[in-house]
Amino acid sequence: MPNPVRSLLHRGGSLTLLVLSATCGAAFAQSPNEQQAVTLNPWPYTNLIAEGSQGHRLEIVTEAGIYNQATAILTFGGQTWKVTDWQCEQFRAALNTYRALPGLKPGPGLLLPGASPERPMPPYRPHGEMWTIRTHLHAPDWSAIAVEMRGGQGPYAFWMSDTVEVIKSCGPPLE
Amino acid sequence: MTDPTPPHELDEIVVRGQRRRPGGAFPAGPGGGGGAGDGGGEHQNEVEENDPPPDQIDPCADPATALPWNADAAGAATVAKFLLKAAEIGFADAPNGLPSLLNREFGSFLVRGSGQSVSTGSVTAGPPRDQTNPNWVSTLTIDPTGVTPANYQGDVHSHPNGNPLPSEADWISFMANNQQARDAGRTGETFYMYIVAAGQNGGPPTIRVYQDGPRAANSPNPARPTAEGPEVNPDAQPCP
Repeated sequence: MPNPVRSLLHRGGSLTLLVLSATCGAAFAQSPNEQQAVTLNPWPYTNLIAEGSQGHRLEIVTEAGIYNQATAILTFGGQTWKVTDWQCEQFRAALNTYRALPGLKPGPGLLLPGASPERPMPPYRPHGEMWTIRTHLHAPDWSAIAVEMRGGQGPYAFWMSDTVEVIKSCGPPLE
Repeated sequence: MTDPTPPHELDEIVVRGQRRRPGGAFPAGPGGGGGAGDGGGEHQNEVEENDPPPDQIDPCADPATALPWNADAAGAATVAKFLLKAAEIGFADAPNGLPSLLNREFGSFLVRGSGQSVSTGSVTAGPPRDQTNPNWVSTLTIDPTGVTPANYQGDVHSHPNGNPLPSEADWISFMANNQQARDAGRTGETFYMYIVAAGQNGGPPTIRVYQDGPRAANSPNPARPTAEGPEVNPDAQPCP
């Protein structure tokens, strides 16, 4: 039975896949030698690196040439967890949640559509782990831009904290 | 800009609100909001030798003093709501029938009402303590229902471990919320964060207040306090 996430990713739409699509698109426009240099990259593409104020470090990567499989490498307190989406359903569900996170728009907030002093305040985690997230964002025309996001509030920071707990629940750390 | 006053001079060195004064007493006020355990009905005029002089000004007569007075009262009232929530949850949150703030974190926004009134928003309870994890950190997400940048006044949340100080995450998150209100034009207001330190070894919880005073929306955030904030009267009462 095909992995539903892999099938879903094949259909496009995930941030992970979009990053790679943009990268590969750029490679096809280059000379053959340049294409080879990109293809022979021995290390998985790193799609997301996040570091938290409580000491968590999470990388979510796709294997080189196998863009529909995601692996999480979490380190915390001297321990390392390595989890793949096809081995842990909870991590797969977390990736699906990530795909559905709302888009971010540049501020200032009062210039955003619907801005008003009467709009609701966002949910608030007083002790939310502060995250520094490095990844790529994509515009509707598929152009990509590298970004570094920092903060402890909002859907992206909450997703990071929740996903860290998911990965820990997938199994014990590596020996 | 015509305001010649630098931002760092805007904070007055005035003890406001219902906070423990030098010498140890909570201020008495309208309705007798005085010390813990009093009935709250009669004005307390007893002055002991070491007490500060009685207040000469009704804190509720001036909006500048009524707001912190009412915010402190709302902060204190929120603790009772936390305990009520703990009692409703029961089990480890109310061992032997006595509600406790040790097993999980509770939180609520503070909401500005008409005039200088302040009330508690929805009370949220975080997940229970993971007894197997000595490094357990709460992941409480406070429900913002009914809270907007126009009526946000701060928040109240508990620390099950009894720490009375805001963490760096507490402070940065508080600043981010305040920024939303300032972006909506509320640059002349003070916002309050009440930290309820769960009583350890059977003691009662204590409430401490930290505040972020009037300043421009684009001004730099003050540093996280490293000293404990003033203790708020647990029996604080709002202005009548």
